[in-house]
Formats: sequence, structure tokens, C-alpha cells
Amino acid sequence: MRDLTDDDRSGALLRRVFNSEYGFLVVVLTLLVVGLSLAATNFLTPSNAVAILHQSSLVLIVAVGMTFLLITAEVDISVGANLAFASCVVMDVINQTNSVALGALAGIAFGAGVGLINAFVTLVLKVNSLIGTIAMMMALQGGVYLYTREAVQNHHQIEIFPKIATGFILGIPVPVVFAAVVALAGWFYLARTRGGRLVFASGANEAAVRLSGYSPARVKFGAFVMTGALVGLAAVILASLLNAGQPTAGTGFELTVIAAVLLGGTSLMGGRGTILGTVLAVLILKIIDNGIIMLRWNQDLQIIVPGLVLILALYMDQKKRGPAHG
Amino acid sequence: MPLSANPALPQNMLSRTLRKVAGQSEIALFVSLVLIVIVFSSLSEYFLTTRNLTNVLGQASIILLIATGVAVALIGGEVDISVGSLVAAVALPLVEIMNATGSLSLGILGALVLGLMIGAINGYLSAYLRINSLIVTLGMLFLIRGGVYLWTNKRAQADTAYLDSFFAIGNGKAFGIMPIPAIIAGVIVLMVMFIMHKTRFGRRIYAAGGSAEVARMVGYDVRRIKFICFLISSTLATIAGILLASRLGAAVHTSGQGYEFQAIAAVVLGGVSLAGGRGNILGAALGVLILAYLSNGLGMINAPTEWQLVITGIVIVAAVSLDSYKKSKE
Amino acid sequence: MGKSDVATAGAADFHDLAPALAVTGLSKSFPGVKALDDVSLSVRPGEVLALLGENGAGKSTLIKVLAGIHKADSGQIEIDGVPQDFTNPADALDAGIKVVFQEIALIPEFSVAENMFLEDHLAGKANLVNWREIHRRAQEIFDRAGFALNTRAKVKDLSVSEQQLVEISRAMARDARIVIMDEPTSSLTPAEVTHLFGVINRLRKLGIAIVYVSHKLEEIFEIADTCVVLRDGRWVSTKPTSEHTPASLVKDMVGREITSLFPHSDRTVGREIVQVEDLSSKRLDDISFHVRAGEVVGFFGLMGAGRTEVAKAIVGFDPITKGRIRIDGEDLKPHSTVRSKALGIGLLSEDRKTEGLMLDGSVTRNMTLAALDQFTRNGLMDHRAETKQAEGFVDRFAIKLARLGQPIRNLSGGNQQKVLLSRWLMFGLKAVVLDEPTRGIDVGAKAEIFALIDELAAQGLAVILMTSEMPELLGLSDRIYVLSEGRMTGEFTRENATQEEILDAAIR
Repeated sequence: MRDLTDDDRSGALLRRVFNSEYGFLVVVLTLLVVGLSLAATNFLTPSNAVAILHQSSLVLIVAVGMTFLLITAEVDISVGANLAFASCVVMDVINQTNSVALGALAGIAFGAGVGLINAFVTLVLKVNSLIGTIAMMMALQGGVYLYTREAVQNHHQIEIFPKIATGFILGIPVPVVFAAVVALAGWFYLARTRGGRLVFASGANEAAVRLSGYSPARVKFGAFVMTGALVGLAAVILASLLNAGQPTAGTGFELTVIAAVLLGGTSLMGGRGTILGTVLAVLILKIIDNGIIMLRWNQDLQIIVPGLVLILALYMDQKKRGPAHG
Repeated sequence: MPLSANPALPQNMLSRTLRKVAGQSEIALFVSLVLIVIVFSSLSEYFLTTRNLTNVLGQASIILLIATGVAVALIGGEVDISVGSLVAAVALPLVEIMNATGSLSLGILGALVLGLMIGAINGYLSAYLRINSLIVTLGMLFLIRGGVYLWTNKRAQADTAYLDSFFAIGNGKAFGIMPIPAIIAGVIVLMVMFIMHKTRFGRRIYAAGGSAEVARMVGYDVRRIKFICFLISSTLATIAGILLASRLGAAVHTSGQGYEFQAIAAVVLGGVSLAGGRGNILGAALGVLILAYLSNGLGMINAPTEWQLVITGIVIVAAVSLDSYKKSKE
Repeated sequence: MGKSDVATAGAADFHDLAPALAVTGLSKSFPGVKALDDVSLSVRPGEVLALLGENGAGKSTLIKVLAGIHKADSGQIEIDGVPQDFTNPADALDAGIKVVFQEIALIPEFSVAENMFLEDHLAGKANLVNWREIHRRAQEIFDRAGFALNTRAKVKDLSVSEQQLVEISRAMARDARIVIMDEPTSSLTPAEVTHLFGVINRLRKLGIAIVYVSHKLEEIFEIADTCVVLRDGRWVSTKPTSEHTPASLVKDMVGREITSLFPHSDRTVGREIVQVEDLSSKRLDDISFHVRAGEVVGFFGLMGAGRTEVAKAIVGFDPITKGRIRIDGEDLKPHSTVRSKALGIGLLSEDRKTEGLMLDGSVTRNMTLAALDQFTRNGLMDHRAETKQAEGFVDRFAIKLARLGQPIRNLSGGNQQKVLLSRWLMFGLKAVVLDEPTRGIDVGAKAEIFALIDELAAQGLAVILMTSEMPELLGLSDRIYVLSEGRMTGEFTRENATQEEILDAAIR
């Protein structure tokens, strides 16, 4: 009998951890790190940690924007195509002006401009954002080839440019600094500000927000434009990383980002989600990616695993909430 | 008895048959299709030829099949975006079995088995475990594509059996003009239309998608209905995959990418609601044809292929926003 | 209306008949609550039995058990003396019980006729839908019952009362023996209610037993033969309606006598807060009115008369085509809710779920939504101040909850409504528009809301009350405006308002 009660207690503890908001993600992350450290000797090294963070940053920067969007009950499928196009714009503008700053600005402005159009289509033309941004994705995929037939090469050879992706600030990779700042700002905004409260409320009940004297359209507009601008920022890093503007770069990127945000516990229906969840989920996906390389497994598994993890995560979430909320 | 109810009046009969087959929005779609044909006919002398018009049907047949399946799932209140990856996956057993046994039917059987298995997984997870189907099929989209890469090592698997019958289903022409894939797709679309409108099961799909709560209270097994919707959608995508493999003469690991989005866009253009329970297969088919002829026409007037994507995007936004504008006016 | 002779005609014969439906010792528990405790009742063919009780009394649980949605823990259901065992809604339907729920259970996109034959679509061997037969049979039932419905119309295009007729026709298509109606008149106009009673009397003559669930006492006295009252899941009384008075029924329902449902304190009326001139919109035509501080102004109108439209227009929620709206002297320009809130007017929507609540949000978050600015310092939220304010309102309005952090979904309708009222009171308004503030709320909570409305006016707020409930209108309002088809058709003071004249204006 004693054994049984003890079992029960540990079971209850485990259940509690699982049921807490981030418990599940933290447990998965811990298991992954411990397991991979044991399985691959070169996993738990500073250089590998840096590599993982490096790879996570690009996804995380955009995922923060997508978290905002999903919380307001909208979505942006065009982020991948936007990323590719914006990276070409960045490189092209630097080539022409010899100014990294202007190039970066142009990239961010381009991304934000796409976000602006998405917002217009969704909020003014009242097209469902899933469909509207699919259309935008098509337009951008076609548009980028009209803009450039092939990759925009680095003709400026400015020394600092590659450093955006590969340099370090105080021993931390530059992209990680960017991602960390974006994530922190996003977390702070959602958790502590009035604006953040309205982001949640706009997704939970748009009419109620409007009747309470606020404009949900403005909130959603902000989320679309911000997501676009973050794509622009990611595009600067991507262009630096590839040392080129690559029109084919963003294929499937939107799916990775959305998978991460959903895995992080953000609801597709709006009104629920956290940046911390998104951060954890991006790390989990990228550690799995990294682990597959470290274990010398077939790299094609990198596509399979996120799919599997996503379905599993949703299944756990469903179980947690019980059938009543089905 | 009021005069208008007299079925003998010929005018009345005409309008009633018309109404039976098509609602107002389908007529509008049809008119748009005709307009597209007229406009491009005046812009290009090659557009309005039997050869071109039927060729487009052949090319469109693959998306048409996928879109029909996606439409069934959407009407049933679920979404299936794994179909693009499925198209690539089912070609593998098809080609490998054909290469090994030299039998087309065994190959097709293999493809269907895989397709149904994927559909069953989608259906089980969405309908029975009640996980949001957008996410389930998004996950499956990754899973299947990765599986295809693993299996093929990212190389196309060529058809080395060279069966005439296999070549014919994707490339042959009936009576010298009508592409076989178009006939296959046409027949299947008509069958699905019949099922959706004329059979008890079809009506139950509409009910389950329109109002699952009510459907449950009436005693329908909503989970089973939705499960079968996924089977239908994956079966139709499997057939599309077989046709595509025949056209390409190989199982190509990258094929079908982005088809899910094209299909959803066409279907929504055709008036099928993302919210479930609304729209019909005829509209969805017209949506596919409009996009296909638009893209073909743009090609005919030598617009770069990239413009086709851009214009397709704009057309979708325009059509859907017009629709939501109309609804807000009501 | 000729109701009494029909009622007595029915009463003459059903007393000798054996019960169509007999329920004995029914009990049902949910985690933490005993929803039904040893409830018994019986209803005979041709009898109209009223089932009464406050929200939470167990009515809806009983209905759901009879509909086969819930399974009882113990007790027996007999139909024509045969014990029944329902495992799902289809079983109950097969046995002859048809429930017409408040939220109508039809497929909106389907035609009227298809909805009537949802169960099997009259399909033959090949499972093919027999459309011709479906429409023919539907028409036959309409002819027999005297319903003016088009079998081909889509249900979504019908009014609520027409949809109810479709539900009743569905019962007839299935040869139902027992029809249970759950608050059937909650969204009907008086004319439609009269029509519904005609339909009920026709069903009664066809020997169908009817269980009629309602809050509205006038209706009970008009249509019911027998009254069964439940309270806290338990049976309280079964009596012929003729032996009841409204007071005795209310006493049975709440277990105490509610002396004054409508408090009306003496208050001083101040300056004009709301001034509306020549307001027109898609559904409104030249509406002018004013409301003064400390005044409760009631708006009455039948369904579709434009009450909700007026409410939404004057707070800037719906667009207007013409007219001038001034709040405390300032123009409502631009015409938006952001501006209207700044001017000090707010709306409590009639539709709590879709326009009021964030169902998964906490009580606090729901309550402070309009007043967020008060808890914001340099754009940052002061969570402590927010919680403190919320606690204050919970105490003041005696809102029943487990903790402030719990999702508002789990609160009762009355408590949810109090939270939504707090949302505006916390912000501090000059004028408040209440659109059907007591919809879906039980008698006890209603009295509290009424007291609150009186208190608001006493504090000097201009209160605009949109209601379709005549007693509420007459009991609370200082002045009354009547709308009909988007036009203003009458204005009354509290003293000269009579039910007849108001109704007369409402159908003008």
C-alpha cells in the first residue's frame, strides 16, 4: 500500500508539472538536453550551444510577431515569401547605396509594407487572413522573380555586413542579441502593458473590445505591420548569413514559424498565448534539428520531427483541457 | 393554387432546373469564367482553340481533384492541407510497385492503400482525438514530405516499367482531343457532386460541417462523418498523385508543394466557406477552372509565369473581398 | 384571444386519460451538484404542463434527460406506460419525445423541408435522398397544422418564430407524442406569441402532450393546465393553474415572497445628457429623443423594431447615415466607440456571449476591460490596483465566484451580467445603454439587476433601457419611447403609460 501511495504522489506531481502552463515544454526541453548530452559527446559544448541559439534566432524573431497575430485571432502565411523577397531587397539596396543601414532600413520597410497590405486586405477588405495571406504569398513568390531572376550577390563587400549574422557582442552572437531583444520586448508588452491586454482581448472578443471603447482593428493592424517588420529584420540577418539575397530562401518558413508558435501553447482561436511558450518551442524544435545532426541521423528527419512534435503537443493540450472544450 | 407554382410553365421549369443545378453565386462564377475566355480569346489567337482549351483542362485536372477533396473536407467543417505532400508520397508505392511487378493495377492499389492510411491518420487525429485539423494536417504535411525525402534520398524515382497504360492515364487523349486526366477528374467530380447533393451521406456531411451540435442531436455519428471526409479528401488527392506521376513519368519527391494552398484558394474562390457547411462542389470546380484559364491566358499573351502568380493572388483577394462586401450589405 | 374556451375544452377530456409521459423519482448528479433530486411528474395527451423554476432549479437538466442528452442516475421514464432507457437523443426521438430547445437545433443552411426530415432524409434502399417526397410530406404537414411556411426557404432566412414552427413540424413529421418547449417565447413578438399559443392549442387537440417551460408568468396563466415547480433540483409543487396566483407561483419558485420586483426611488432629474436628433441609419429612420441625468428611459418595440439598432448607433458601434448625437453637449464625432466612451456613454449588449464576455478570460480581466486606462501608468499595467478595484465591485454587487482568476465562463448568467455592468461602472459613465439586461437571467438575479438600475439612476446616471418585457418596461422607466420598424411611434411618461397604448404604438 505504501508503494502505491508514493507512486500516486509522484504521479500527481508529474501531472501537476505537465499541467502547468510551461511545464510540458520545460520537461520536453530538459529531456532533450539531458538525452542528447548523454548520446552525443559534442552536444553539450559552448560552441554547439551558440550554434543552436544562432539557428533559433531567425525563427524566433518572426515567431514573436506571429504569436501576437495568432493571439489576435489572425494569421500570416506570407512570412516565408516575404522573408525571401525582403532579403533580396536588403542586398540590392546595399549594393546600390553602399550603406548597410539603408539596406537594413529598406528591408524592414519592405517587410512592414507587406504587413501593411495584409492588414488592409484583412481589416478593410474583410478577407479572411488565412486566404488573404496565402494570396499575398503567391503574389510575393511571383513578384520576387519579376524583381530578380537569380540570387542578388554581394557586390559591395562591406566588411561589417557578414558580421550581422556571424559576429559577436560580448560573446553572444549578434542574431541572438536581436532575437533576445525582440522576445523580451514582446514578452514585456504582452504581460505588462495596456496594449498587450488589448492584444489578448481583441482575439478573445472583438466586439466586446470595440464596445469598451477601444479599436481592435488598430490592434490587429499593429500586429500585422509588426510581424512584417520583424520579417524584414530577419531578412537582414538572412541576407548576411547567406551573403546574398536568395529568392528561394523562405520555402516552408511560414510552416516552421506557425508550428513553433502553436507548440508554444498559443491558440489558433485567438485570445491565448505567451512569448515564453514560443521561445521554449523554438528552442525545442531547433535542438531537435541540432540533435539529428549531432547523432548523424538522416537530415531529412528534420522535416518529420516538427510535424510529429506539433501533433503530439496538441494532443497533450487537448487531453489537458479535457473533452469538454473539444 | 397560385400560378407561379404551376410546374407546366416552361419558363418556370427552366429557371427551376437552373436553380437546382446552380445557385446565384455559381452562375456568377460561370459568367466570370466565360468572360475570362472571351477576353483572352480577343488578346491571343491561340487561346480559343479546342486544343488549348482542352489542354488546360488536362493540366487543371490534378488541382481539380485535390480541390474537390479539400472542398468535401471544408464542407464537413474540417480542413486538410496535407494533400500537397500526399501527392508526392503516393507516387512512391505506385512507381516502385510498378517497377517491381510490372502491374499498373498493383501500383495503383499500393498508392491507394498509402493514401487511405494517411487519410485515416488525419481523420483519426482530427475527428476522434479532436485535435484541430489545420494543425494535424499541417503536422502531416511536414511528416509526409520528410518521409518522402527519407525514402527517396531526395531523388526522383523514375518509372522504369514503361507501361503504355500508365503513360496513357496522364498523357493520353480520348478521341484525339480530350485529355484522359480531364475525363477522369470530370467523372470523379460529377460523382462527388452526386454524393454531396443526392445521397443521405452527402447531406450529413453538410449538416456535420454546418452545425455539428445539431447533427449530433439528430443522431448522426459526426466523428465518423468527419473521419470519412478525410478519407475522401486523401483518396482524391491520391488519384491526383497518380495522374501527376504519369505526367512526370516518375515519382518526384518535390512534387505537389504548395498545391494545398492553390486548392484552398480555388475552393474558397468558388464559394466554399472556411467555416464549414456552405458551398458546393460545382462552385469549387468553377473556382479551379477560373484560376487555370486565367493562368493559361496570361501565358498565352506572353506574360511572364511570375505574373500569373501575382495576378492569381490579386484575383483571389478581389473575389473574396467582393463576397464579404456583398454579405455585409445584406 | 379565445384562450379560455380552448383551455377548458382541452381540460374536459384529458383528465381521464392515462399519462403519455410519466417520470418517477428521477435523480441526476454532476460533480459537486445534485442537479435533480427525486423528481416526479406526469403529463397526459392533450395536456399542457408548465414546468417552472429559477435558473439552476433543474429544469434544463430534466429536459436534457428527457431528450436523451443526459442519462439519469436513478428513476424511471415511462411513455404510454412503457419504461424507457435513452442512451442518446435519437432514442428519445424514436420514443416520441421532441424537445424544442431555446437555441433552435436546425441546420441554418438547409431548407425548411430538409430540416424536417434530417433523421433519414426519407432515403430509400440506395440511400438516395428523396427530395420530391421530402417537400411533399413537409407541405402536407404544414397544410394539416395550418402553417404558412415555404418548404424550400432556407432556415437561416426565417424569423425565430418561423424556425420554431419548423421545429414543431419536425415533431409532427416524427409523430411525436410529447413536445417539450424550452422558453419558446423568449424571442417572440406578442403577435407571434399569440400565434404560437394557437399552434399549441392545435397540437393539444391532436392529442399531443406538451411540457411548457417558461419564466413568464402571464403566459403560464394563459396556456398551461397544470403547473409543476422545481427548486434546487427538487420537486416543490404540482397544482392546476387555476389554483395558483402569480404571487403563489413566485413563492413556490424562489421559496420566499418577492415584495417589490421593481424598486423606484425618488430621484432628482438633472440636465439633458443624451440628445439625439434625426438619427437615421440602414435600419433607422429619423429618430429623435433625449435622456436626462437621473432618468430611466425605456425603449419598447417588437423584434426588428430597431431597439438594438438605436443602442448600437448612439454609442458609435454601428454607422449612421444622418443625424446628430450629443452626449452632455458634445457631438459624437467621429462616430466611434472610442469617442463615445470618452464622452461618457457605454452599451451593455443584449448578446453577452458574442459581444460582451471573453469567455476564457478571468473575471478580473473581463471586469476591467473598459477601465484599463485607470490602471495604466506610462503604458504599464498596475495589476495590484486592478485586482483591488475588482474585489471592491465583487463585494459591492455580491458577485458569486470562487476566485477572481477563474474563467468567467463558469459564472451564472446573472453574475456574468453583474461583471459586465461593473465594467462600465468602474469606468464611470454619464449615460449607460442597457440592451435587454435581464435576458437569460433567473427571477432572483433579475430583482438584483432591477435594484441596480434604480440605484444607477439615483446616482445621477442617464439610463437607457431597451426591453421587450412589458412588466420590466413599465416597472422601471420614467419615460417610454416606442419604436416600430425603425421609426419612433410613441412617447409616454410613467404616469400616462398603459400596456394597451404602448402595444398599439408598437404595431403602428
